[in-house]
Amino acid sequence: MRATRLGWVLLGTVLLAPSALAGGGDGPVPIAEGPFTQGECLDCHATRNPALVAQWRAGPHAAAADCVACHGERHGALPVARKDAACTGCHEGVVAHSYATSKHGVLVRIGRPDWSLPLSRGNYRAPGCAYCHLHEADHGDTMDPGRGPAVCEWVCSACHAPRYVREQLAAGDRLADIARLKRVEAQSVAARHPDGVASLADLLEAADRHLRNVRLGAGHQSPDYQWWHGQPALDGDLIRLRGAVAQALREGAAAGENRPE
Amino acid sequence: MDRALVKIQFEAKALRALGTAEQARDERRSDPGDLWLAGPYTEANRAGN
Repeated sequence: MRATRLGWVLLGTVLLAPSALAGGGDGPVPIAEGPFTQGECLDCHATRNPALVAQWRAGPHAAAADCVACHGERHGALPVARKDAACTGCHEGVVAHSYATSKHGVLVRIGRPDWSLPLSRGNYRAPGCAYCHLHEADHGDTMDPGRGPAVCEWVCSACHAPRYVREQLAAGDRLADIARLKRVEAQSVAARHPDGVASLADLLEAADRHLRNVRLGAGHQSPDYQWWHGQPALDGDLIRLRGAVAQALREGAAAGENRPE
Repeated sequence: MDRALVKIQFEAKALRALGTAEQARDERRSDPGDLWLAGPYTEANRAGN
């Protein structure tokens, strides 16, 4: 009986294999489960879905994350790749934390989404990382500013009214513009230090981090990052920079006047 | 925490000594005021206010 069952399985495999190799599109073609290597993934999918593979090759993940890194070694793991955990394994630190502390991140965490659903409009109550950044199986970055504001507006407007979306995006742009002005000002203040900008490298690096926090806070809609880790932190950087430069100038002036003639 | 407090106290003492020396010299503290009032953000902020 057992031998008979094994025979049917083998027969099925032989009959199904040609259709799987023929590359008949992305339909429900039964194929082997795996495990697969990265090369094996590309061998098939470069034929089955060349546009998707080309998009991945041109996108930010090609250099850092292969198919297996997100999808695992076996077929049937699309829900795994859609979960936030697939992203936060690499995108840790402030990127993950700014999202986790946003209203979007909190809603996803408490909402128990059905990750088996495609990353399409109407399928998710709140957006996980992949819903926005890999929308509709995008293998680039849907939120890449280079794609223009219309793409971003379209993704957000699945849940929010278009006018609200435009207002929020404009507010985010203003926040980032103000933060960039602070960073430029930090550089100009540091340039006045008698020992040069390099002597204030730590403070300028902190300003870079805080500028990034503002951008992450605006993008992820995380008030903590827009404000506490962002704008006020940049204000603090400017105060510390000015204090350091002012003291150095005063000390330099005092030393110059005390110099014996 | 104690180490941070010691650092703050040390820096505050150095700054106070500098100010005291400046005042003893010409009765005023030299403070590069334009350093605090110039810059693209400060100017935009001033215009916005």
